Amino acid sequence: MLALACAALLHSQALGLLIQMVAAVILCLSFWLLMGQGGMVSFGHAVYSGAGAFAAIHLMRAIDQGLWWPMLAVPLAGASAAALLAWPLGWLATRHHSTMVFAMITLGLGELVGAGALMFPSVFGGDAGISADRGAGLDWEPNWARLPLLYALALAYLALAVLILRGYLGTPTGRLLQAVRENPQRVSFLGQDPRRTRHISFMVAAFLAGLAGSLGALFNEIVSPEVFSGQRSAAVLIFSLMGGLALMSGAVVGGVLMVLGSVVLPSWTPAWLLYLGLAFIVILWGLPGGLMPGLPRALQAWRRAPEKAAAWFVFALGLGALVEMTYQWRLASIMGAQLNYLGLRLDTAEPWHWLAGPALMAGAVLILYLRGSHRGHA
Amino acid sequence: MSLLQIEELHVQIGTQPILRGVELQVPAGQRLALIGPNGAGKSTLFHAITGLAMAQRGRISLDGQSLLGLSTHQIVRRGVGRSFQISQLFASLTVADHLRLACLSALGYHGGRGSGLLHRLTRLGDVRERVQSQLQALELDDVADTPAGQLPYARQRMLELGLALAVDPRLLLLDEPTAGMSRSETTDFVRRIDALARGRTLVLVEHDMPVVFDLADQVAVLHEGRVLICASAQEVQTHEEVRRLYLSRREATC
Repeated sequence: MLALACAALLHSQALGLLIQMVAAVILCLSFWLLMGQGGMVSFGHAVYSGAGAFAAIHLMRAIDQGLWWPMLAVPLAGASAAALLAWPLGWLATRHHSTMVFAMITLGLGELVGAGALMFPSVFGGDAGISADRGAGLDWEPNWARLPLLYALALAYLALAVLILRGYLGTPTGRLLQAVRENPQRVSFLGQDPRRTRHISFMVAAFLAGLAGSLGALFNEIVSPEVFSGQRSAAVLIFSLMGGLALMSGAVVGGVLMVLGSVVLPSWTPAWLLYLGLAFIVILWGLPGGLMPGLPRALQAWRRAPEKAAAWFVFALGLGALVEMTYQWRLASIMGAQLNYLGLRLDTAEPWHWLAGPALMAGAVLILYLRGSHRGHA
Repeated sequence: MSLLQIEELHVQIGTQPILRGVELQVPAGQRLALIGPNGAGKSTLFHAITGLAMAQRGRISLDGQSLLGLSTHQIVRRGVGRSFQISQLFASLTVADHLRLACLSALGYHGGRGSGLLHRLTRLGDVRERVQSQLQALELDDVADTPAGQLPYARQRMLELGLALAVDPRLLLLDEPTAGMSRSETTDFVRRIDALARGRTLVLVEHDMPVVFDLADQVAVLHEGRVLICASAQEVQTHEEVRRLYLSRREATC
């Protein structure tokens, strides 16, 4: 990670990825508070990151027009706007103790806000979105158009987000949240209102989501109503589950995966969505608690049985070859018949090239089967 | 005037009428045991007092103020503490955390409003003092940092009792506090309840007759959704209909 960061300092594209990762990690931390600590499964968390992003982009435009507000404090305003929006919306969502009701209300609110945003193009910019210039800060500010500086700012906000989270969970209300997750009725017998605890926690989570959305707006310098989409909300849920909700580190893994999966992977292969779906299923199937703390344990298990891990790796390679060739074949009219698979030239017009993938998969299955039957006899 | 006053209380669960006109007066300082066969409505009565079951008809008031229509946490703040028949603890929270959260209400911290929101729970001085003294009173100080889920059964029951007491209730409702305990554990536990509940009004649901006669100075017999008789322990023991309905059967199974 450190080496990657050092190398990235010289490369603007990688630096951009790192900034997006920091924002994604903050978003996953926000979701970790909501779902991991509070047991509230939200299907509409993009509403709050999106609200933060729009508040930020409008503020950036106003600053460009002469409003006195430091560009570096834009995320604070965006986060506050998101928390403010979460006051009425969170009140609605947290009235009932039922997880299902909460999930459905957040889903409904997400659709509502997404559809509503498209109806007001003057505020939300329509399909084209709204753009602004992050370099137009106050005189004494550094030029935030320079990516290393923006990266440093994003890291500072990540530190702030962690401090807020840790601080909040230590307060009486934060500690009550864990009790509410386990048994809301019992909490009311302690003389505390479980709905109030959930509502306040919801607003804190929205604040952090707004922080993440604002950082995204600062980086992209453009925001469109797409930030409210159900896909964004689903992505938060999916990558948070992949990272794991038991530990705070799961949110970090989830955030990094979110950028790798939805920014880096699509630039490598047209089949990215298929791989993401497969990875989600495989991870949750093999490690139901997510990669943290599941991955370290899985790595230990693989070290004890390296041939098994190798066989699964070969199986994945074979599957990848088959998937890539199928996509290439479907898109041959645009992209040609030949593709480069991990340095290997494959041609969809050559029948025997099609055998490479299935052969690898069959070999892997054979090894796994022999290994299994060997153990069965022993 | 009575601390707890229940008049003409009707409660139905689903379409099934459970309480059909309960009349009960508990003066301040009294210790009342509720007995009655299974399904007589003892737990439903507790549910109705604490806002978990809705009353169709009738009145429930604490110190002259009606409790009907209030939510559970509001009722608790007015001075009602309750323990459950089956311990309801937060398995992953430590014993000390349980008591910290439970005493917040008695100290006036109500989730956000007022002071306390921006402080660390463990640093609040008044909370710390109170938790320390409660840990000692409950004899749980050696397991203060143990998650409640890992405690042995009898100590979980003690913590359950501690949670009901930590809200500093005027009216303490205990739902079968000694359920599932051995005879020696029960004797010990009854002595502890006796000491901890001193000065509070106590209503107790209990099946164990020795516990009833040790703790209660008044006994109410609930039968088919009504209070059959409410009298001193001696009178109830000798009451013919009660013996026929309840006590004799109990003794036979003992």
